[in-house]
Amino acid sequence: MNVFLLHPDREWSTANSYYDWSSMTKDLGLNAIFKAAGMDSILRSSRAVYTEKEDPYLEQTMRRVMRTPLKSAEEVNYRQAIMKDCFRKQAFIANLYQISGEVLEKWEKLGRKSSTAGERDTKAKLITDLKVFQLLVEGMFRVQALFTENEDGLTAPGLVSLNERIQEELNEDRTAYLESLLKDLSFYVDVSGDAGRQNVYTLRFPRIRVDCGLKDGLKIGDLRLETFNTVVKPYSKPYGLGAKLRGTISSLAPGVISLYKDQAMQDDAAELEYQAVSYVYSYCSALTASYGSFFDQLHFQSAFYLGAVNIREQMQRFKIDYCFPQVDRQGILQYTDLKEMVMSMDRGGKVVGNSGGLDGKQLVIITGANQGGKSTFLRSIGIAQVCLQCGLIVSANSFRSGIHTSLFTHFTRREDSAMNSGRLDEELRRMDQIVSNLGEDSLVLLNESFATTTEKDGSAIAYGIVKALKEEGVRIFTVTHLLSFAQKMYEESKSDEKVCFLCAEHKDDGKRTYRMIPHAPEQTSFGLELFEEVLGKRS
Amino acid sequence: MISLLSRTGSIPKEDTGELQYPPFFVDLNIDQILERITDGWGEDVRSLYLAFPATKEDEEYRRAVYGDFKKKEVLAAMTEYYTGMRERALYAERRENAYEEVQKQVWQLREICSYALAAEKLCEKLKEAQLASEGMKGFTAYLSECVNEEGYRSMREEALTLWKELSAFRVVLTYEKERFTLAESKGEGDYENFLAECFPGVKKDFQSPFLDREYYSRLEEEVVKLFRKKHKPFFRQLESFCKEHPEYIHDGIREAEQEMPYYLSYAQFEAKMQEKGMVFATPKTSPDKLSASGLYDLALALANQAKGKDVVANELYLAPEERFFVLTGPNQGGKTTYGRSLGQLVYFSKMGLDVPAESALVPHYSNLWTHFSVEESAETGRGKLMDELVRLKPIMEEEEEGAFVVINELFTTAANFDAIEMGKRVLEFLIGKNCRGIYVTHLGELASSCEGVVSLRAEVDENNVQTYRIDRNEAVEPGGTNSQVLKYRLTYEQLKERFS
Repeated sequence: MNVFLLHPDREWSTANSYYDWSSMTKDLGLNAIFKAAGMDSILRSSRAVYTEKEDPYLEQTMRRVMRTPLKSAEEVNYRQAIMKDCFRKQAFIANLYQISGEVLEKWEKLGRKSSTAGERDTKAKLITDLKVFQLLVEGMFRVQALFTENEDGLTAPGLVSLNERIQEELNEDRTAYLESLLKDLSFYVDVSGDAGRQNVYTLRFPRIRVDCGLKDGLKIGDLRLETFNTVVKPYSKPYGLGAKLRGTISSLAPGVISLYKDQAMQDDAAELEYQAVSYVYSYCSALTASYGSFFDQLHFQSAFYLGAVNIREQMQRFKIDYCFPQVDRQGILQYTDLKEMVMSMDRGGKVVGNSGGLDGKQLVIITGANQGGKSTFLRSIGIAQVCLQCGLIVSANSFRSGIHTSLFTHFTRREDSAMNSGRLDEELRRMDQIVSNLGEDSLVLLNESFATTTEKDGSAIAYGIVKALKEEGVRIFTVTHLLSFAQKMYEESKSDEKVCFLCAEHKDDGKRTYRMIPHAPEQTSFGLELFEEVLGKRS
Repeated sequence: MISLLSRTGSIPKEDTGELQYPPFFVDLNIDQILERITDGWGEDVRSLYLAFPATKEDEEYRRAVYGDFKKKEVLAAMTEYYTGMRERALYAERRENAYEEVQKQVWQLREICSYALAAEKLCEKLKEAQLASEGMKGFTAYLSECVNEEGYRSMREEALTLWKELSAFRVVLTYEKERFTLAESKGEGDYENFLAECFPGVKKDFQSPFLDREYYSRLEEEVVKLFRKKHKPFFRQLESFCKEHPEYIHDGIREAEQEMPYYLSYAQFEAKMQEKGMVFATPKTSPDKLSASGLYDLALALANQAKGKDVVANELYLAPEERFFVLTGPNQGGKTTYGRSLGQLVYFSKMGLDVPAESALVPHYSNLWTHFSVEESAETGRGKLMDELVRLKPIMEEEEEGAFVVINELFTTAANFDAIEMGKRVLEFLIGKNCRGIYVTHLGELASSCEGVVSLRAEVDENNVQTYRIDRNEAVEPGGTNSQVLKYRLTYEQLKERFS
């Protein structure tokens, strides 16, 4: 049974994740987005209060799903369609998440983990397996009911075909088979004293009939199971006087062996019973595995969409506009009122948005004033790109871009930029890893790279690397203070249409707008202004 | 009597108790390779790999047998046969442990059946196969003789008939509340069919719960009682049959079963590794010339395979008048690996097996000696040097001539001048003993120290990066250090090269 809500043709797997996701998470501040996904703030009945409950599983799921980029517009649209359905039918996705969660939790309580580890009483284990089987089958019926109830509102291909698969899997024939199996096996589960189900006035007995021959060592073998079912009989004392009588009478018949007071025979009967139940269950175990992984996947995949619902909820609370981004061909990049999502949520939406287009720009060099919003802009592009590539919404009025599954960030944080050869070594090591892992459609975001060495050295390193990467066809966005590097690049390629220089805008009075405008790199990086702003003029 | 391992008949089986590897095993990482070859085969098989064949002729004898063994059809037939014989051995074990005389008889019947089927099938397959080796031809002839003997023929006929009869006995067991019923009636229901309908395409075996125990369960006791009462003549015939054939395996076949795993384990290993892209070659013998192309360290290749990495293969050529390689070059440049690959080449060649290379020409060497420096320890320099000399002593006192020797980094802790002098003496001694071999060292001076020495060098590229290629070249001192950017190969020029 496949869920296929994250991909049209396969279940979730971590294959082809972004390279060095932990750096990317840190560089782009993605933790805040994961956290938003984990904030269950949906109001199901009343609109009066927001109750927020943190759900670490939702958070973790968002972290893992965002880690693996989608590869095509089809895949992105597939997720977006499902997400639109979920935005409309929040209760449905929340229920799907809850039912699958409950099933998994009960399974856990039945000892899901311990059943694979170590030796356990085999009979107890078999009974547990049967209970799990029952749990999963009943869970499937619940999911089926939920889908049947909501059938009308589902428009996304992913949800529609999942519904079809569930209805097909649990069609009438199948349902009848499953119910019959559960009934045939019920004598074994009830023996364990499942008090809730057992009727005190009846007992369940097996009836097992086996055709067999003699095999190696003259032992019975080559068995064939002819009959296997549960017989419900009125309660009677198992080895009481009545039983003794019946035993005596029946043993007079030819070929009849009474179990009465024959401990060895009773043991053999128990073993045969166990063997027959294991045999029947061995057929069902494939279903346990299939339904089990179905619930694992369903829980995980519905968690992603519920997380997305939560993110949207957070954005709406802060009145941050969002859009479903659009996938375009390689090289296209257009955005209107693009905001850095993490900062927006942090500051309640009061963040300046950037609008513009960088179609066909393969190398974008961003220079300008400190605290001018350069890094924020670079991050906003990076975050939007990651969101687009996992099917999420983006905090902008519109966002349109190609897909870059090989996305890399190489950020140097200012506070780290002590002159320290160890740190430079670290930076170079990471750069080397990026170079070794470049793909077809790489996008590299460099923020203040090689600021850990002297300006001269850093410029030379940056120049060599950026030039070589550009010639290789890698798309690069770099925020830099290395002016020798920026200017050398500018002189070489000011007429190159594929290269673009942006600058953090500052008005004539020195006031910063936090907007990026096309501008040649300037000699001063306005650090002095900031210095003066903070510390006052000192002559 | 035919032996597959030696043309002069069976080799004496050493009963050393615990398995002890020859000293060069660990140095050349052959212990690691052997683990992989004999994975799932057990100690007995491993012990077959420990000693070289006694003579040059036996090396050739084995090479020829192995050549036949690895032919696809022969390997398949041998594997099948061996599996059948293992099964038989397992039945024999069950017979030993059986509980009742009649049970033992049934086990014995089963043994004889599986022995007969395996031997006949093998005989048929081997006769069809194009065999080239003296050993395999001899074995086939012997096997054919065995399965055509009059006594054998009548035994196998009777066994198969009895087995067929036994297999036809059936009974129906019904278990209900408080009782079992045994009857011959049939056809009440078919739950297996119901399961097949519920789960199309799935087929499971319904096994008896009592199968793994030697003794009868209480229920089986009743069932057997019923059968014995109903089929008295059958059980009488079985008894006399078993008494007639207490020993049924021919001695030569028993012998071959011990030796076969030597070839079988290696041929299966080789086939598996070839599937994964590794190359093996059957070495040709030469009176005096040693050469190979595409030679690699098999142990490293096996280890790298797990990590998805390739190994660098190298060339090898030692002319008749040349005696010893001296290999120098940068650290981590593949020197030790090259030394090991030479040692492995000689080992597998002497064992009559295929070697890890594209092609190889290997003369007969009387023996294989190695000396590898041990890991750096907290010991004082003198202590380590002393240790090295002690371990060197047995080699320097050898009477035997014409061995192949692999030496890796001797005397690293001694002063340079001393180390060179000592190294020179070792080389002179070995060359005097008509040995061939390789001496891996950081001392370039040894490369020109005496007659017959060939200088090899682990090469680096223009950026001083190791290539792991070994070529004939003058020894040089290792170059200076690179800057950080060079180290990570991130200059413009280096990047251009990386992308090309």
